[in-house]
Amino acid sequence: MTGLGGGSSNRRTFLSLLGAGTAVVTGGATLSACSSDGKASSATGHAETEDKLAGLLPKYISYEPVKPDLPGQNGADPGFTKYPAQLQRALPDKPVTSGKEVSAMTPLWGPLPPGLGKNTYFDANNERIGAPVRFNVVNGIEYGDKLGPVLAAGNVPELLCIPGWEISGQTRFSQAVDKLFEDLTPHLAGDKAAAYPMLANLPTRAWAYGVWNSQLKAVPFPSNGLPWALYYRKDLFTKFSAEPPKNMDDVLALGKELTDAKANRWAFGSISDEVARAFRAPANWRKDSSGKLLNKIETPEFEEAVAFTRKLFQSGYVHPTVVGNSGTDQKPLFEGGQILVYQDGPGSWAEALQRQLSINPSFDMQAVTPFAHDGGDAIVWGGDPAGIFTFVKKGVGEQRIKELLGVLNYCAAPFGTEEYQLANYGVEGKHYTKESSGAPKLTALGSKEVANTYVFLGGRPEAITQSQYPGYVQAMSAWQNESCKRFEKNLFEGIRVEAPSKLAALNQPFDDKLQDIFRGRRPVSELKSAVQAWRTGGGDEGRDFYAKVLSDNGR
Amino acid sequence: MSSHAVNPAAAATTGPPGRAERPVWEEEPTRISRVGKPVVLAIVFLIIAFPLYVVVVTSLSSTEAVTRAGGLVVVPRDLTVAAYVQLLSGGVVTRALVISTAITAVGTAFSLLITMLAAYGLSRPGSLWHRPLLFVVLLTFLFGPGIIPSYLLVNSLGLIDSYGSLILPTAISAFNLIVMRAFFMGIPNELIDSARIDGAGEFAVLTRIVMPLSKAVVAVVGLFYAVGYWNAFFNAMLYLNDNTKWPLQLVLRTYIVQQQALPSGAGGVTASPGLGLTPAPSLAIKMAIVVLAVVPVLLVYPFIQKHFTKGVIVGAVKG
Repeated sequence: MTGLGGGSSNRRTFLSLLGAGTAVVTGGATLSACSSDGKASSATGHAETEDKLAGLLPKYISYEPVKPDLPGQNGADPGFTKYPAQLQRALPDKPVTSGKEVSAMTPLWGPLPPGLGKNTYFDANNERIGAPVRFNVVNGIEYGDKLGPVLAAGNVPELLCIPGWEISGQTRFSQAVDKLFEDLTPHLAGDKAAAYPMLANLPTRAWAYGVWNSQLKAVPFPSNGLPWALYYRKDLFTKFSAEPPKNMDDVLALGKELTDAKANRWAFGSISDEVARAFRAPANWRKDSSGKLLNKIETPEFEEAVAFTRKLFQSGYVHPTVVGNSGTDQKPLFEGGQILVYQDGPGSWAEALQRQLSINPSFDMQAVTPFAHDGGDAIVWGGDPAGIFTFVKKGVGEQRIKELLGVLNYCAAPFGTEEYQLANYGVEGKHYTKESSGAPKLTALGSKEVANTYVFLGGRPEAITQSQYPGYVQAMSAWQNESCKRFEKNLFEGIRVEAPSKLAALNQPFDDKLQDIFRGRRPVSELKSAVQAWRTGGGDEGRDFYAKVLSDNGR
Repeated sequence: MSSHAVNPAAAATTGPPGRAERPVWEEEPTRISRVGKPVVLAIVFLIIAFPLYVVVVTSLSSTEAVTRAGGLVVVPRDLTVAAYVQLLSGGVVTRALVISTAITAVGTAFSLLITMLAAYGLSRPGSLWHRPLLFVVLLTFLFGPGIIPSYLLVNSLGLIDSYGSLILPTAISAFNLIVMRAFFMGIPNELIDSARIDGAGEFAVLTRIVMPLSKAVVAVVGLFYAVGYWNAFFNAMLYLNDNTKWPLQLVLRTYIVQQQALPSGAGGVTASPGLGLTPAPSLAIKMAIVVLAVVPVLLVYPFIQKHFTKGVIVGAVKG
């Protein structure tokens, strides 16, 4: 389940594969070296409101190197049904004129590439940038563990990428931001952003989330906010003459129709978030009739969703491996046809197509159009318009700040530019070749050297581009447009709220109990006591915090 | 061992030895036990060996085989070394292998040296402040330093980005120190006193008397340290900013992290560059990583095994 605060909980499901070893020391992440005079922090929560920040934010200047074939509505991404024949050069000049090495720290979800001096992909990008960028990449899963000490010691690189989901785990984060990172307002507010056209092309809503303590502190990484999709195997549905569900009766019927343990086939993997959404439980908080804030888990809709999910498990419609272990990697089971319906992140769609189409050309997965439990109007949970932030180290000097913003400007170049292509795939003919569809395909050298490094230094407007998979762009665009128009009304729209760390820490214990209830290890009646434990453990304090955020903003 | 000496005496007082007087373990095995023992042993062997077999087979399986099996592969088909090729190509993993080997060798030697010195000092009754010092050591069992204080200390010592940061903060394990101290205390004082009478100083007593008698515990503690250094990845992640200095386990971990979905809000960025060559199957990579991580320990263990056995016997005789 996603976190109770609406964001995705960061589950650590694989501690033991390599063994933690004896050198691991444990301890909570605190920000011991930071000053204590700040007025807000992640320990107690923090909020910034978009509409109060108008004077700080960069003026939006659209930059569209390629016109999309399928425009995105209501926040959905634009779709490109073919790769551009000609790439546009977005930046004529090198951003770093001093030639001085740039230090940067980013997360990485992938194999470690060869380092500077042994990596021609780095060389090619650095040639365009005008200076070597020395990356300190850290495994995405442990990134928060490193952030805490690095912030506490003030030992930050010139450019530091901080994912939003790591912020709630950092105590007194706002004070660290104040103390360690440059105020970008004088360089980017209003028309000044025109000097960095790729940054000016980022959505204003995303920029609002880059404000801390009434200063523009970070370059945001825009996001459409769609947390996951419910996927089904269309090829197998066709084989069994099944249709995607339109209500919960359909879901149960599919469970009965598709599950055949003897054939090693089960209808569902984990779909508990999707069930809660379909029952119209809120993603986060909502007000009851008296105006009191209610968390998702306190609503009757959530209770119904839990009972329904338990029923799915008890009926034997969920794959036994998923029943046995909630942390099961469901991708191989879905792609191998043992699970026919499951939920996963939007990005997993194209990744599965990449893996499977070459070995199973008939493989066809599609996303289910969001539906409500009763077949009525569905809601869709929305996330924040920016999920990752890049900060510039404080005290590096005016000229250096301009150079560093130039690097971020380079990294923010959108689809259809030479810079985007270079940062994502390297040099044509060397790191990638073009398929007949125009899609880049990494060479053996590219597979070794190319890594998501520059890509994590700056966000860019999202786009659906993988047209090499027949029908994918059209299907993803249609699903996003259908989903985005159903976004649930969010009480905190336009307010970046950092959940108090105490509240964030309640997610995992509650989710553990929930998983037990689904699997019949605890009676369903224990949901009430789990909710009560959540309230007394910090949930009620969290409610007060969120209520104050709303009242401070006149809502 | 002693039953042969005891039995004749018993026989002399109770008459000629018969089947009834034999110890149970000297009886002819029954048909059930003759059949049952190998069966039980085979089951135990399978319980241990089967997971290893599945790990190795899956690591050698193709994408199709992993997909067909829906996960772990039991029946080998379409065997390929693609996962190993992907791991070992590019020079990053091989470089990390050299670094890990060096860290393990140097770290184990250093840790053993200072653990032996500390254990010897704390095991001698007349040592200065040995009880308060022992108390401080025991305290570390209860209270860890925490990540941030450790980082601040390493940072203030100027060890960030140095290999020393992978050895010094974990150079002594309180557990290993206590184990070794207990072993040293079991060495008869008469031996040490006689050495002193012969004119040996503390260093000579340690190197000529105590150490030769303590090979078993040194082997055991050395293995604990070596496995610890070999498996450690967290401190490297914390203290090393230069990725070219990463040890093997941290590099291998990047392949596991590759298979994790990014949290929502990642702005469409996927784990891999996405449009590359068809990747080796994720599970095959994971299993190849397990093989690479475990094999060195499996290779070293047989050479140390005899010391383990000896250590157990010595401990048993000393009671």
